[in-house]
Amino acid sequence: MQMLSKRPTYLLLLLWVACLAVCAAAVWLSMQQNWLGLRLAAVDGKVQMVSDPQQRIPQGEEVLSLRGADGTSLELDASDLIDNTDSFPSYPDKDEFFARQDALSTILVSGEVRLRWIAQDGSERVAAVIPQPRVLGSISTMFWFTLAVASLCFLIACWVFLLRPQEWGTRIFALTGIPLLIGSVTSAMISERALAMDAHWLLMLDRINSLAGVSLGATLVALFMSYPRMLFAPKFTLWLPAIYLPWWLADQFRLLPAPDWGVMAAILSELVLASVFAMMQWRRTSNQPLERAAIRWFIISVLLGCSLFAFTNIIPRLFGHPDLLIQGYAIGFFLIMYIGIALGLGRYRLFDMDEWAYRVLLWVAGATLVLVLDALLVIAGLTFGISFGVSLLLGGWLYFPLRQRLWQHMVNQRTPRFESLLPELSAIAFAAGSSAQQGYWEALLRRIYEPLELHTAQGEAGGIRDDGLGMVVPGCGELPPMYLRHAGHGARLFSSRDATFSASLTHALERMMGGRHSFEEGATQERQRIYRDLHDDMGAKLLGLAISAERANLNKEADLARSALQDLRDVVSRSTHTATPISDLLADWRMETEQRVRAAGLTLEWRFPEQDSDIVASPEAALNMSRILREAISNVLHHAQAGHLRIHTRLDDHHFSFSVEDDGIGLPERATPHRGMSGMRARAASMDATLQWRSLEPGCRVDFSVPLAALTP
Amino acid sequence: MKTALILDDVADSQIWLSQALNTAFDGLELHRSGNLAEARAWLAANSAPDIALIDLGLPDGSGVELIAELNRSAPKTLSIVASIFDDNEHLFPALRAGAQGYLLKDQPLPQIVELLKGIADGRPPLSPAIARKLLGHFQPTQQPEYEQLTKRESEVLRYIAKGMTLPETARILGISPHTISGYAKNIYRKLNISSRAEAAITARSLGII
Repeated sequence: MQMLSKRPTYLLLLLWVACLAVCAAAVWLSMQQNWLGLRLAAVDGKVQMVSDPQQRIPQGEEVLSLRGADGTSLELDASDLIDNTDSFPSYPDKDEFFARQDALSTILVSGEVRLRWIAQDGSERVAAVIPQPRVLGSISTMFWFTLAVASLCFLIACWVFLLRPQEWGTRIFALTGIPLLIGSVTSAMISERALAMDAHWLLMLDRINSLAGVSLGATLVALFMSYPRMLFAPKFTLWLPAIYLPWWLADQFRLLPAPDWGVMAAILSELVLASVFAMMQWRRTSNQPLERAAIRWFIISVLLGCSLFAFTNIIPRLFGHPDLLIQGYAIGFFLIMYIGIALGLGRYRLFDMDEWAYRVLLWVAGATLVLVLDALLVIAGLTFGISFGVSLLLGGWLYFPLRQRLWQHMVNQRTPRFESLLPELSAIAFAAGSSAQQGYWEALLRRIYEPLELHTAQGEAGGIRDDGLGMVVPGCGELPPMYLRHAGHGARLFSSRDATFSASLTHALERMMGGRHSFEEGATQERQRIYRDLHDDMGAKLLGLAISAERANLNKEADLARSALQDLRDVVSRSTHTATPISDLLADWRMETEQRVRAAGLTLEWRFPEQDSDIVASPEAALNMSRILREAISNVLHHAQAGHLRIHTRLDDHHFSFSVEDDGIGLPERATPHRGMSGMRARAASMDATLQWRSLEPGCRVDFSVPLAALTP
Repeated sequence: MKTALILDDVADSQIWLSQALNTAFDGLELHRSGNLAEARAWLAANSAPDIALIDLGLPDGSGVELIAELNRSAPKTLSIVASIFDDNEHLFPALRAGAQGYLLKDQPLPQIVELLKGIADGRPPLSPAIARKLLGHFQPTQQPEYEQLTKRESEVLRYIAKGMTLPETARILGISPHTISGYAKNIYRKLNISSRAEAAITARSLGII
């Protein structure tokens, strides 16, 4: 999330202050009314005393009527105590309610009020109360709760907007905060009225409340229309006020058949529209995992908030039970929704969205399952208590295994089991050559994550990048860190689970490489020890041989001793290398051949391959080829009686080859294979190479060719 | 060349090398030593020789030590490594210590003579393996506390590393054989200087100096 600069922080403070002002106004207005100082409630259609601090009327007794100081009296009715003005069966009912409220509030300001109530023994009693203006302490907890939640939602909306002011989604979300705040505050004020409120005020509150409710719905619809993708051009959002404002006005001007056709119906239609747009957003984002995760957050949080609201408020009402939770408290569920939407807009850990989404979905499904079972059992005739218990049991039995199965299917399926990857990991750790190793590693990563992009990322630490669009797999040994992007061919995001899995893969690989390294080091050390022991002795002896042969003018023997010494040098030097580039080999060969041939008095023509190349040869291959070449040259120097030597080396896409040509006496008539030739043939065969002798007029030619693949086993 | 020192623990090699030196330079005064202690004692008692052929594998140490000492105390002496092995692990330390050339003891006499004359003349040998090692040593990534190779010198090394001979390289670059030998000599000098500089840095960092 970006850091806020100074200006938005000031703006946030300003909004916070405005919000506080609204709440303070609500509190002040609520305190302006007169009240009786006691709490009444509607129970089973009767008005009952709930609490009286001054103990004038016992708790639980029915209160029948009020009588003001000016003589007007009114029979109390349960409908007077309804805590919200959302639904009335008809407009005349609504009008009557307001009229009664007006009468009641007039009584409350008239002076002494007489309450008529029924005592336990059935007699009617009268209590006299003087209504007082309210004090701060008399305001119910529910009022404070509603105000607090509404303010919090408003501030969340503003804060998210200030984080990303340039996005349409956050702008509209901020816009939803206003009707939510105003609607909640007015609703709280309506239900906080102690028995009655001046009808003038009440009507105004009712109007504002219903407008806020419709506006909230409309802005939520607009939100789903524009986040994460703008489904239509921005100007189409103007259709929403164009539809719903007249609708609200129609309700206010009583143009509709019944009040329920007004606000309730409007809100329902907005819910339907929101669902439709959510569906469209879902389909539109099938290729963008990031947006998809965001819309999931939305849907989950809205689903959660609304379903909790429905469970506690609407469904009980359908079954005829009282609300499980007073609407004032139920508004807390909107907070869940707001937090969820805020997290989605703020792109918070969207890459972990998958699992959270499934968890919530499965929870809601489980709860629904229990309730549905309960309903079925109740219909089947069981009493409420037993049916609930049985449905819980059945639900548990069915739910948990199902959840397990679904969970494994949806979430775990994507990551392969660690054990199954061990063979591939060891193949990587023990691969010969860093390019082969790199190749295997990349192939494994591609197989597991199916990324659209994969490339090296030097110097990067492992982890998730770009809200889950990318991931860096840490490097180990010679393998550099790898950057992957767009998992699952662009269909999903990388999750924390993926990051931990890849980290443990690299860790295991590192351990294996360490084992290999120790082994190779041990082998190298041992080899070096053997060679060191060998060369000191042998080197000196061969030198002695070469010197004495030289002195005795035995040129052939001297050359033989020298080439043996060169063999020894090769073995000593190659034993410390891992792989030699062909270009290095060719350079060394040339120099050695040049000196040898010159010493023997011949001329040399040496041709290098036409192109430079990065091909390397393993130590064994290098040694074998050196010896074959050396032997071929020895044969020319000792047997061919030649004057000129021509050596051509070639390198193409598949083969490395060289030829040794001389202008001497050529191959003998009877091709008796002497020890040198069979030795050369054996060496060539051991590396899958071909070796051929050909007689030229005059002279002889040896052709050697090896496939490039055989150079690095 | 008036005086020469041969340091080798094998008698045959001593004779061989003496023969080569005598053929290369007329009227040479030779001294032969079989181990480091003896050689050091002789050097302490006598003036430094004009040319020294030093074997690496000696019974009481490596010839590299003597090369380093001669480099410090008698920089005018032409130190040449005479060895069986020409691989980098053996030769490069000697070159860094200040050897101005090397020869393989098993080469035919005429070639050794030619090599000696060449080195004395300022034409040190350069093999592909040595050239590769030198290129690696003078990588610009290391701290340039010492003189780096010039562009020309790097070019020469690269051709040698590929397998061209010195004369061929001279032809390709369009310079005379004399000039290219000068480059080779300079490269060895820089190698020696760089090693001394590195040693000084190491000593400083260890707190010795």
